[in-house]
Amino acid sequence: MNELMRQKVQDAFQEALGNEFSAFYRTWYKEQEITPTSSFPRTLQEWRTLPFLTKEKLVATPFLERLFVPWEKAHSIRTSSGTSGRGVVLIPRNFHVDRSYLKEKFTRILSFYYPHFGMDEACEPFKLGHIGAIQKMPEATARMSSLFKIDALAGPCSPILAFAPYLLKVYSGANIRYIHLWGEKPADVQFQEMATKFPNAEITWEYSNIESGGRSGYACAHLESLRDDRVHPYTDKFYWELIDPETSEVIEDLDRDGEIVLTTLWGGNAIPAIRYRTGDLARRVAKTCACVSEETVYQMLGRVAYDRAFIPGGEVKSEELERILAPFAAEIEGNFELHIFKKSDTKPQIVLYVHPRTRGLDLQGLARHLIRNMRIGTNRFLSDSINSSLISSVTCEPMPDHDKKVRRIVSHG
Amino acid sequence: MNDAVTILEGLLEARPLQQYHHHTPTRFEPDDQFLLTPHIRGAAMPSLARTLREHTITRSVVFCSPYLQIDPMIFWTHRSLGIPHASVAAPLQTPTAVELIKQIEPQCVLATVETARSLLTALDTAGIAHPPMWYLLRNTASVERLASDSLVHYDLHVVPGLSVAYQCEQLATESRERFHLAPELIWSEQNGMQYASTEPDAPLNFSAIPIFRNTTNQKCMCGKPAIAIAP
Repeated sequence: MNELMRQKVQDAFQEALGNEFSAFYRTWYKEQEITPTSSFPRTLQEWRTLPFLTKEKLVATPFLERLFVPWEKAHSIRTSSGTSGRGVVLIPRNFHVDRSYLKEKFTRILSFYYPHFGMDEACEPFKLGHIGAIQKMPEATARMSSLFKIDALAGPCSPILAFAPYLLKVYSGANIRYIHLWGEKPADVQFQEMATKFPNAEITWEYSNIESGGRSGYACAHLESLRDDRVHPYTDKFYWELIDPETSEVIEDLDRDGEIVLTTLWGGNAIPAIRYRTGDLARRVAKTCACVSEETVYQMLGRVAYDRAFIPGGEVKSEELERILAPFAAEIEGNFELHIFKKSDTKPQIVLYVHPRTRGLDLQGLARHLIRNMRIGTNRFLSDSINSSLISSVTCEPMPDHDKKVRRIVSHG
Repeated sequence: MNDAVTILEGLLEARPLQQYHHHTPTRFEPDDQFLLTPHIRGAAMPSLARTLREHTITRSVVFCSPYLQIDPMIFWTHRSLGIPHASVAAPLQTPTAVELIKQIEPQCVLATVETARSLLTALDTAGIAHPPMWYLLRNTASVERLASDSLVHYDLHVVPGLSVAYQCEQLATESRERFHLAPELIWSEQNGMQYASTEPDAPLNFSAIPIFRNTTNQKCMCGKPAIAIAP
């Protein structure tokens, strides 16, 4: 943290602490027996004595107790998606997210975001047309898209890919010239599938987090061209930290995975985030781009809760599974779920659920491929844990619910 | 299908849509025939604005089906009046709607009769008090009413997003089907049939479309003319 950033962090922190409409941080820190001075934080070490704000803390605190502006100044209330399984967070909004980068990209967009007004508000200043996708009604959404002659799509990768077959029945994918992704980190195979279905589309992905106010990172032209989910942090609006999700140790090293922690830096925020644990994984990597940005580069890795889990003998990671499954792109879709079933008196069983594209997929062969090739640590493979009898079985099965289009690792028990 | 929708869809068949910013479907339920009704950029709903002003609403929750595409119009209405609100998708986000009502205690919930019914059930299950007022969007072809102890305003739409009649507080308290005709449209009446026309520059302009049959002209206690619609 340089002096300029320390000053920004101090201003944001002191504003949140002394806010006249919400005593949220004052009360919480008092409970934690932390009494920050008016010059807090003077040093990085001092800053790191603050506890992390979590989604659970937000869910447990009544909305009106953490509203930092008068009610009438919050122009809308957003809600988190609820997909994390940790409860729904109500988020007041009193600012517009700058979406001027959309201006030249399209004329009529279909967005997979509710409330629909979020994208409508973004489109309005640039006279761009917008309709919203309808959950559980892909045929109606496809008909609307076709009537409206959309030329762009926006939203998380999985619902767009799940919708694509319905759209392509009634509308040419060649009409789509821009796809703006957010939310879950798309796998390479998902990117490829999207590029195949929409051959004329420029595809971009942004890192955003609704609890801390939306877009938190951006890709310069060079990073975008790499297509491996690298972003610069928006350091004028956020202070980024990376921590070990298990120990909460702050990570300074390059190339070490950690959870992103964000502090919002702008004034007058309806809900300032001070050291908010996003649940998103990233690693800080060396800057290779020639852009004017002096900022660090982060490679986004997915969700702490969904993209990795410990197993006896190592750790399974989504990115490694993607690598393992990449040669099967013609036979299975890009989504998968890896479940680790653990009972206290038995060794874990691992089941990989996939969406086969064709009948007759050799699931046993896929399981053997997984056991043989999946790395679970430095010079360790899944086969090592099997051979050491640390894991009882690894099997592959078709996904029971074909509507479910998510990519995640779930540890049971 | 009522006559008005058939006529409107006939008009829409021949029109380019892309010049308009926002669209809603022409039918309240999805099928393979619906078309899209154009609206101007940032279109608000004057009928809703009147009711929000009349009741000095300062917080509301919207619980409608995303299919209706009406959420942006509701948003712009609230923005024009400076009223914060939240909008969640019915029926998928029912738990979120319940949580919102519990935490922000809205004075008004906007819904359709169907989504309001499902939300009432969810509120009762969760032991959460009902909102004091419902603002319900209803198809002109429907006569459905919500059984509720709260005040219920009905806003009649010929196609989603095109309001043709609304209720002031006085009419909302009545059990009869009485409405004020939307003053944004030009009305004429013949033998109990109410015909609506738009200004020529409206995104979807039309002339003398039959909207309500079997009406009688009456006066509301608020001082404005009203119509009673025979069942």
